[in-house]
Amino acid sequence: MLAHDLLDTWAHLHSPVHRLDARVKLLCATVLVIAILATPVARPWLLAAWAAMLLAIAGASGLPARWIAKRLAILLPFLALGTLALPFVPPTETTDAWQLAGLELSREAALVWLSVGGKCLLALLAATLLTGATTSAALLRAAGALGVPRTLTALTGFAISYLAALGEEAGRMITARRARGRVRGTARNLRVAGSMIATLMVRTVERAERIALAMVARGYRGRMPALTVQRAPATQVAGGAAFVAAVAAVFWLGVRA
Amino acid sequence: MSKQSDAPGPTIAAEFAWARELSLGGLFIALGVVIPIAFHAVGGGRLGPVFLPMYLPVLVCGMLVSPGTAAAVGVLTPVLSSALTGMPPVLPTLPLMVAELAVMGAVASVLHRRASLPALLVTPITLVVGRAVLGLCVLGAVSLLPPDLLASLPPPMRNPALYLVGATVTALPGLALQLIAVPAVVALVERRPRAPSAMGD
Repeated sequence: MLAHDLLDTWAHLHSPVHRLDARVKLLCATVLVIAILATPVARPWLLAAWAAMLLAIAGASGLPARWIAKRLAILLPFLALGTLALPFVPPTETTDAWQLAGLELSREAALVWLSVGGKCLLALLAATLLTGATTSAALLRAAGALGVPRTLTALTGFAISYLAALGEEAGRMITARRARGRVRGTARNLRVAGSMIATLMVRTVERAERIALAMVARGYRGRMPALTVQRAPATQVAGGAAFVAAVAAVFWLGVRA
Repeated sequence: MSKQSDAPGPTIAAEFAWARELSLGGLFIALGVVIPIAFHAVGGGRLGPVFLPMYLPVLVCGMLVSPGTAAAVGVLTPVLSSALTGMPPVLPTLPLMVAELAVMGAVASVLHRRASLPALLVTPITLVVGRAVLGLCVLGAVSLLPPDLLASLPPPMRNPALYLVGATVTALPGLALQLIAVPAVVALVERRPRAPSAMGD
């Protein structure tokens, strides 16, 4: 269901993007995602500029295009559903109508959909590039160094560590259910699915208590031990500042144009 | 010896309790990513808004941990799921779910752990509060967003009441599922024999 190296599969390459300090990458990605989300609907070409920027970063990162495409493909059902719904949104005025392959589409709805779908896709691409080019441990350390509360980083660390284990447990339960034979009827299927989820949750609580006991036994004293964090190289900080300035300039020019 | 080193530190019981909070919270965030993946594997992106699979672990976790941790679980679950799987989409669903789940987690924790209300009563109250938060967030977005950004909201969201009714009607099977499953799971967890802890109980 989920691979153990889901996040860190390609995080150990040696591209310029991989070599950047995790704090610089996290800050740049956050600024870029905010700019993407704040892009007005009436400026679809600004989304094209963000896409070009992200594609250039993807090229420089050396991450396999197939892996990136696979990560983005998860949005396809959502995008397809929205696109299929477009012909059912009636145009409000005659000037609002677009003719496409014999269908009359609402121009406003199409633009909104282009904007929402584009923003979702680009934000996911930014997150994919960030997590693909940085180990999850480095990302969590960077988040902590940038002032994210320790509880949040600790919780995220636990979640990432046990994602694959819980995914495998769920997979084993599904396999076991299949091995016991096919259940007929929606109600019976729902009951089986419900009891599987309940069992998974109870087992998760038991696992969490075992982990807590192990943590205390190994000397956990209420705080996660923090490793010494080195300063980011000045050239990388300057590069990050230049990237943020470039994003701000493109956004400002795009919105004013 | 300095004064600071004489001060009593946290007891082992307190350390275990905090470690349990963290591990429970972290593992339930992971469940909040895994369970929706299973739902999406069966029904594409359509089953999410109907069965609300991410709400289950957040609500159950809310009744097992402190309000602060429960709120953090509510914030992190949709954010991590969105970053890893693209679901929920960053616009417009993610900000709404973050607010809704954070408040629901905290409310479930306060009502169950502080006010000692039974899970059977806490679940419907929390679901109603969650829907109210959803409505308020959409209302806030419609009232506060500048026109340029407001235009990027899907047309149904521009009428908060209509959106709330639509989202609630769509999610009726999911709300029913939470009403049945959450109290049952919480009862199962609370009735099972506790693991021997570091406190020697």
